[in-house]
Amino acid sequence: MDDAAAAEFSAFYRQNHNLILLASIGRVRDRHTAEDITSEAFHIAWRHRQRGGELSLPWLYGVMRNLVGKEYRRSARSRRLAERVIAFEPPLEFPAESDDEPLHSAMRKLRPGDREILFMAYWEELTGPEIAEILSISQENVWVRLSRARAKLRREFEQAPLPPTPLTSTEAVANG
Amino acid sequence: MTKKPFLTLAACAALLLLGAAPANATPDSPLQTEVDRLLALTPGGTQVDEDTIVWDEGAVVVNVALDSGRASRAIANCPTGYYCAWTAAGYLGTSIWLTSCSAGGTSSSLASLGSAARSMANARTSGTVKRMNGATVVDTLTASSGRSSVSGTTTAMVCFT
Amino acid sequence: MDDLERRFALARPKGLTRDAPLSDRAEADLVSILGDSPKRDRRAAADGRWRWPAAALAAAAALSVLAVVNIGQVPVAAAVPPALEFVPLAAADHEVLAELSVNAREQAALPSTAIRYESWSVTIVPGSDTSELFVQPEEVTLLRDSRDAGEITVRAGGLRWGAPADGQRSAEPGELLRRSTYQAGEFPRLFPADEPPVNAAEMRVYLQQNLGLDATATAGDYFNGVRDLRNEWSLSGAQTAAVIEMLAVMPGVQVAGTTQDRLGRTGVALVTTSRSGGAFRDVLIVDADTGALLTSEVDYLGGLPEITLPFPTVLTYIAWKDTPPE
Repeated sequence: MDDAAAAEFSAFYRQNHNLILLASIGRVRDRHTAEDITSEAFHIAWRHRQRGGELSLPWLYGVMRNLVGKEYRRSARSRRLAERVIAFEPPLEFPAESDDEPLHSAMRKLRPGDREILFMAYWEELTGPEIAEILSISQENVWVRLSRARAKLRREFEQAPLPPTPLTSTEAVANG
Repeated sequence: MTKKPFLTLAACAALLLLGAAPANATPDSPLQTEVDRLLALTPGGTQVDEDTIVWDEGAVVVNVALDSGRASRAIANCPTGYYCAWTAAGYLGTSIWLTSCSAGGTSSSLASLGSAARSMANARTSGTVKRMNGATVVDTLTASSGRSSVSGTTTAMVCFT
Repeated sequence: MDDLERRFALARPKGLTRDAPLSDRAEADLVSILGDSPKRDRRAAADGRWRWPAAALAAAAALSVLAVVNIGQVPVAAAVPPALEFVPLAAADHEVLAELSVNAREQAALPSTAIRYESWSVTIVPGSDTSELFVQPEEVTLLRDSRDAGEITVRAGGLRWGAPADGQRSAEPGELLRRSTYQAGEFPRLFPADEPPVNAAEMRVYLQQNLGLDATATAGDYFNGVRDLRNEWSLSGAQTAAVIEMLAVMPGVQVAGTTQDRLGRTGVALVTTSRSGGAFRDVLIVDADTGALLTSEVDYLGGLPEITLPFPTVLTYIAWKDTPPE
């Protein structure tokens, strides 16, 4: 029984690891943290499976988002002692391979929720039903949110001053 | 089976609901009063629309509906539109408020309650919520109904729109 | 828009498609995950002796440290009651529990159906990331008569820890939050038929039957069952003794020491972390002299992905105060 569970988990791991890593990269400060989050998510998934839970992408995705949330709060706690912790906007660093700086600048100006749904649709190539399930919203709301995010991105993109400047960490904190 | 990425769909241009920034209802309208009430009950939400509140960047979306003419359908401190579970009979104790619902049923674990659910309610205005012990349906709550004392084990609640 | 879509897709990190090969680190992680053997934990449960999972032990220690550091102050990022502090007793657990039981049996307290308590709990809205910066418990009164008619009243208590931030508001202490009135036969009852028994073995069966506890129920489930019972019945001395004797023989129950509960009353704390692999610490504080139940508390120690609260943290407490003073 253990062998079957391990084999099933390995297949689940191979099928979803890169997707979760990609999704984490879009949300946190740097790749190393994203790799840590991905690793922790799959550790949690294995314990979940051992306790009789089912492995599914939406569940795993939710685990990753929770871990990202914890990372946000861990970073925010040291800076926002007296404020309500509502949403933390991490500086977004696109990986070095991509050099589309105007796009990156526009993306950084979006709210985390808008960035997230754009990543889910374009990078992670999740289907509408998958996005709806992961975010626990209806498919109609997926449409609405994605449309709004695209519109905002286009507005930011078109309003971007030229030439774009590299983002510093203080700029990131000032955003949103 | 190839999975179509979500966004190769020119056909959905008709669904683009872009345009002006969301308008709030007039300050004293019954709808806005209900929106304000929900915002006060669960801090952290943002009103994005005349009748829509989102929490966590849209992860939790509540479409506020006025129940014209009838008494409020909140049950104890479970607001209208939610389904909830409590750790003590009589709708007391630690509570969890849930909204995820779908035609095929959306399951929410009650693990975060921290101990067994001892009362529960469906304060939504339509649809049903099933009480699960593992894969077994133990009970079905119709809209605007509650169970003020619940024994046994409930692992999850499944909401059907 | 299509142009933007294409640019977006091109900006994606290379080499991270789902079917791309895993990195070295990813392969190594997989090996390390599957190498975590569950067999060790299963053996520990099978031989009947219970051990504190390492993570729970560390978190429980951190919870005590939290108490020392934060006593009287609002913990950062969220206001929760400060953790309980325990002063260990010199006597062995079984001696302490035996003495508590003896003290309880000597009490002449009569059972009552008027219950009063102060309680505080987190409210959980999945997806919500806000924290309140003040702790305002509720005062709950449950009154029922022999026909199971009655009333449940919830009023706001006084602010205990912290103060509301801008945009938050607290209720006025004493403000009526909810009142539910029940006609005959409608009062919510988990233990509808007989009065609680006065014998430990019967008490265990009584909880099992009324709450649906089965063979997999752990000590922590019984701790919470005792809380459910105490919320419905104000127990007599003999009934309280039965509870203590029932818990005393369960694996995983320890005497943490003396402590002050949320109402400042001194008592002996019984604790267990038997539920959910050590994710929760269940606590019952009893009066040292009378054995009477003072407070029930559940703390979250971490380890469950469904709970996104920072840990360790207090999840809920109930402090009963219907027992008339001596």
